[in-house]
Amino acid sequence: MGSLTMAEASSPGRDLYLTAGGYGCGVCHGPVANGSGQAGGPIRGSTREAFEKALEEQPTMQLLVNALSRDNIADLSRYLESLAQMPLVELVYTDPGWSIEQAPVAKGQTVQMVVFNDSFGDLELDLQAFGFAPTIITPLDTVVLEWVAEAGTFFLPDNGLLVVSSEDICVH
Amino acid sequence: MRLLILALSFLVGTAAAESITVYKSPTCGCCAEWIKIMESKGHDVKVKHPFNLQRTKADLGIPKQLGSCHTAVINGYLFEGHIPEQDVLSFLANPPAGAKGLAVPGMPQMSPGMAPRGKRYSGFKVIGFDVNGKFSLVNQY
Repeated sequence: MGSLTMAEASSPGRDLYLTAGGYGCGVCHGPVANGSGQAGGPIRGSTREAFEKALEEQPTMQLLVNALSRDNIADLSRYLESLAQMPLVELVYTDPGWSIEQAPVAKGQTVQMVVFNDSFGDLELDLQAFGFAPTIITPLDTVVLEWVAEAGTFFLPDNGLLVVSSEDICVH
Repeated sequence: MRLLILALSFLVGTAAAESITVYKSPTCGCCAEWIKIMESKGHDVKVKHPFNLQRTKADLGIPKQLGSCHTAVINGYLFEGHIPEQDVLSFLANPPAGAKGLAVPGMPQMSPGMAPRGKRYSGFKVIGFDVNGKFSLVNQY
């Protein structure tokens, strides 16, 4: 069982992640520091040292130095480090098919699942098998789910199949 | 001669200078790079740094799925993110009925203001959005 990300626990780090600099870190690094194919790349699990180094050395990040206090940096680092505990599963729907990218997942581990609707139609997801209410992902929107990986086969729209075995997760 | 006239009319057509207002954050470097590109093409850009950029975007009517760093307003139309100048001009030359504007969501590496100067744009879509909240594919790089 899990909860939709929109209900994802708010924390000072998470809130800052969504707003820092006026645009939020996610614009360059994805909604849950997963990269999402954007220029900043994934920063899940990034340490405070790496963050401070980036603020010092990378031109885009240097501009943020004065916008972040020491406490802000500590809060953001805590949030990014906490994400390392949740393997990432990224599912992308492009009319008409599914693709998946994933970190290694152990059975029973809590996974953060990012579902991106890269199409111009609504995507109706029946997530009851995952323990979620059915949801509609509007065009180009992303939904993030936290979910305990259980073995099984789950149906996705347009004849997609998500198969979770004891070793991995794949999509057909 | 005919060719020359054609060439000239093409130049005049693409060189129409626009008056652009850009809403951005003072900490955004790539926004400034996009603005430089637009200025180098002869457009007049006014920059605004609102106190709450995300609220400004929401008030202007940028759909959250299409968000990027900066928002440009030209002739009442909205242009979100790193949109190539050519797509902005094509849109303004013939705005579809009900259209609100264009967006390049997020921060694609090889988009104007992000890519090294002179490099080919690639790996992103230009999305149109309208008054009914409908999205459409306008161009793909």
